[in-house]
Amino acid sequence: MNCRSAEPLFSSYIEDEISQEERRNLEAHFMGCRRCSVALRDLRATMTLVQREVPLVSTSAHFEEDVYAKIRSGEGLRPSAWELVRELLLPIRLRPAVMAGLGVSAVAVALTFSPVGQSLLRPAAPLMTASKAPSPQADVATQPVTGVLAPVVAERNAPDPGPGDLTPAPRARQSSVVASAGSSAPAARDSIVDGPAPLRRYNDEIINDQFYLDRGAPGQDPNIQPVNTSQDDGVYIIF
Amino acid sequence: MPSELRLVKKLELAELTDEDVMERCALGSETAFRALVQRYRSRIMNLVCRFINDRDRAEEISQEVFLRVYRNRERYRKSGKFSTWIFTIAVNLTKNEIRSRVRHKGTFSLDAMEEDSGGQGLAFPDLKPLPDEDLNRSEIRRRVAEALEKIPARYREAVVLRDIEGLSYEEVGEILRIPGGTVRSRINRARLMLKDRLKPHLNVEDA
Repeated sequence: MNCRSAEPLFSSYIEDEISQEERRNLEAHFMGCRRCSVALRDLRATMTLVQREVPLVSTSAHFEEDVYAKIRSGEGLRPSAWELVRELLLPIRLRPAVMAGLGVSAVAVALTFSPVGQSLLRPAAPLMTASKAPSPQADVATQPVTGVLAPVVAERNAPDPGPGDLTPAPRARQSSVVASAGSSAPAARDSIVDGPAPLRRYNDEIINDQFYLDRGAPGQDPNIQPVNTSQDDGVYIIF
Repeated sequence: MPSELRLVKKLELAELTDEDVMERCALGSETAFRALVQRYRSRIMNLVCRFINDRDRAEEISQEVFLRVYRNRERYRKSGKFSTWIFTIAVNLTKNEIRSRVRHKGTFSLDAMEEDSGGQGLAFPDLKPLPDEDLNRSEIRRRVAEALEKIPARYREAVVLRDIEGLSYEEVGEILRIPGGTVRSRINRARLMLKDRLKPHLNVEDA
């Protein structure tokens, strides 16, 4: 044992709260180290001095009466803000699972209403309609839905709520911008919105916002087709 | 006859442990509450005073400690020591006061400054050591108080609860919410700091 390891044990030694082995080692160290034995002696003297000579403060003569007066007046009986909070949280604090659930809910709510969360959860508004692709509803219903977009699909699978609904489809139908889902479009998003589209659809080529080039099936001649803006058979391709 | 009855009651109360008295208080006995105030007012006042350097404020906080005991009397569980409970309330209120002072820098406090400086203690110059014969007892007490005041709060609170209030290591740990090993370490460290500060006034014979 050296001085460095002996010093932390001084108090425990004085109060006889160390093991027999530590005591033997410490005493062996004291035998050969005057510095530590003097420090131990001074430490004992310090403890005695502090306990004996620590100044005492007395309360004022009206201390007790003030306490009772505050109780009688009701001033001292109003719980503090912290006590109120503790009162509210105490039953919950005993149920960590409830707290964990609340935490998860809070994160979900924050994510839903924050701009970042909304950008994650809601795809961009559909920018075009096209007439040649099959109706999206049937395909969507057969697609497995996973990931953060699942709520969007569930929303789209729900029955049409009618006019006034804020789902993006009506806006898309009014859009004058025509686009096509190229091969670089994210597969998951495309499949969620459109389902497994026929290959020929991807042969279409945008001409402008009113016409597109329908290349047709292999072996057929291409045709220029007007963009169908009716609300019945649009295919919404989302970028 | 009524006065004799009252005398008997007081005698009984005086013989009861703190926990028993508190139990009576929880059942609605005002006399029991008064007894607790009388038993602990000085200890609480001194405890608070050692943490904040403001006697008037210390008295207000001490009164608040008893008001909280009264308000929460029905929460008290006899399985725990009353002294641990009331000291915990006092320490928490005192820490709140220190935090509040740090936030509102207008109030001067050694503790607040210390907390503000990251608990590294105050770099006040030491007083010149005076020979023992020149110091009367009140001067020695003043030096002891100063030495206590100058050690960092986390060490001071541990050593005050242990060496001045006489609580066990377990109680100190419970009040300060620190593990037993940390309690021992802090108390030992605090004593060594006090030793260094009080060395000129120690009454020891050179070996």
